[in-house]
Amino acid sequence: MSLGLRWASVGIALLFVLFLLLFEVLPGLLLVRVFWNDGQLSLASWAEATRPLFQRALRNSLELAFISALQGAVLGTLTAWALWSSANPLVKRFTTGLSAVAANFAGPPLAFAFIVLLGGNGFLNLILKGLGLPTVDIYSKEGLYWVYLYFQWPLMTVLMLPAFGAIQREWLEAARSLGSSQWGFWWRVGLPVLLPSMLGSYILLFANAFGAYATVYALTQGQRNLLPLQIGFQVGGDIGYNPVLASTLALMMALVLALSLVLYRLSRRWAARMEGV
Amino acid sequence: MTQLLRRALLLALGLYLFLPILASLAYSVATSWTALLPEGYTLKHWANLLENQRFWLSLGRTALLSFSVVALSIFFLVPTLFVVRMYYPNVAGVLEFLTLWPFVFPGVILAVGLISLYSGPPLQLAQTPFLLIAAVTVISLPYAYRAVDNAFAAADIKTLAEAARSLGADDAKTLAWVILPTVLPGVLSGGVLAFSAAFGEFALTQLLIGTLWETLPVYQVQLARTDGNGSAAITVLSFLAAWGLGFWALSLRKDAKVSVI
Repeated sequence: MSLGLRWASVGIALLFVLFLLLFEVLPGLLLVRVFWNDGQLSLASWAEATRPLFQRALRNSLELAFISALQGAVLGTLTAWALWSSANPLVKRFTTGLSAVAANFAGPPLAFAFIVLLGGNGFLNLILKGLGLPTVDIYSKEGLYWVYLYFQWPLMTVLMLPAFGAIQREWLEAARSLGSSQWGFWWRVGLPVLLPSMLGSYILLFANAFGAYATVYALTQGQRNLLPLQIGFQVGGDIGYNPVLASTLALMMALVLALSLVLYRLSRRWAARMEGV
Repeated sequence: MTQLLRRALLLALGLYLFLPILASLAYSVATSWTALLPEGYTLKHWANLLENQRFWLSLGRTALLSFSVVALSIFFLVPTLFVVRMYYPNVAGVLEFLTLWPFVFPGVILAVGLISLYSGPPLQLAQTPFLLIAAVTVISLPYAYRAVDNAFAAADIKTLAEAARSLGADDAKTLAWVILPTVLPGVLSGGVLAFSAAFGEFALTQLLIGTLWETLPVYQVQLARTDGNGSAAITVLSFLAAWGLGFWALSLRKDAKVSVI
């Protein structure tokens, strides 16, 4: 390559690194400034951020993420299995594409779509009422699980497809011809192969729900004690502007996500061994 | 039994993904809806929305934001991945690490960091669209990076460049006629994914600039307080945009593989 082309590209690459330092890395790293006060280490902001109100916010966010990820994981794994065992390539391709697209759809449009469906006068609630069945309160804690399932379920489906791809259909046939039951095969062969991917995907779903802000904000106008909403309040809410508290809470959240990332990487390594890729 | 379970699962997922959109579509054309089906149908809510200047302004800002993010992403990613793949494969790990960063520092956290960093001198960028564009570029980077990187990996540009050179092509020709056309579908796919992510972005927009520079999702939250039917129309538009862009991005890739992180 001519030197001009090469060095122009290197120049842009260096500019890119500078851009990432300024707008990605430094804003994250400099959050730890909250532990310095007048040149001295100070844990005052940590004490403020671990008040009972914020402890509850952390606990609520963890619970929401744990349960919502679990629901998505169970349904998504089963759906990935359904796609794996489906003989119809058209159904397979369409469902995979649909899931990949829906997995990224969140925020105000999703929240308002569910309000139309399951709000006070929601279409599904009217049906449930007409049938004499209990209705769903979309603004309640359980209501949020219904909304999050919209992206968690297809996300898990998409994430689990490659893992199922590592299982050959012939294995199932071979096991059955040797007298194993369908369940026996999935328990002894399928599950051990799938388990690392299930764990890794679960962690992604967990982080996905834990850091989510837009959907729950639009659904409840921010009226819920969750960690991302509390952080948002401290920088742009009506209560007031408290950047130190916001940064400390943000660090708390980043800590949970960093731990998730480490666990995810470990599970990927394990999955690579099990799936032979 | 297996057959039944399989069909039930796929049907349930399909219903779950389509029902909210269909309900919003119906709500956006309903006169009044208190029974099982709407009492009547009207295009009034759509007409109101399309006559509303605030809607067009917010849509324009969203388009400006999304196009800027795509332009910036491609401007940075293509030359960077080109030199890294061609000359400095050792630093690929650093890039990979930087694209994982938004996983630990998602929108809400990034917003807090950016506000405290750019609220004063030397770089007073807080509450400007420039900071928002930079931030949304960072957040949508994992999507664009993966698509462009896959394209470069699949193209094996080193071998391509050697082959072109041995056939007498000079460097500019090699780049313009061999390498760029090969990676173009991947670059386009990455651009479409970044556009889609920027189009729906809410957390950063609301926290960094809010109603000072209203984008479509921020406007929808405002509108929903007074006009549920109009908000449902925006829901339909957002779904169409996201699904259209999503399927377009998928169709640009030769492999059916879907990667998330």
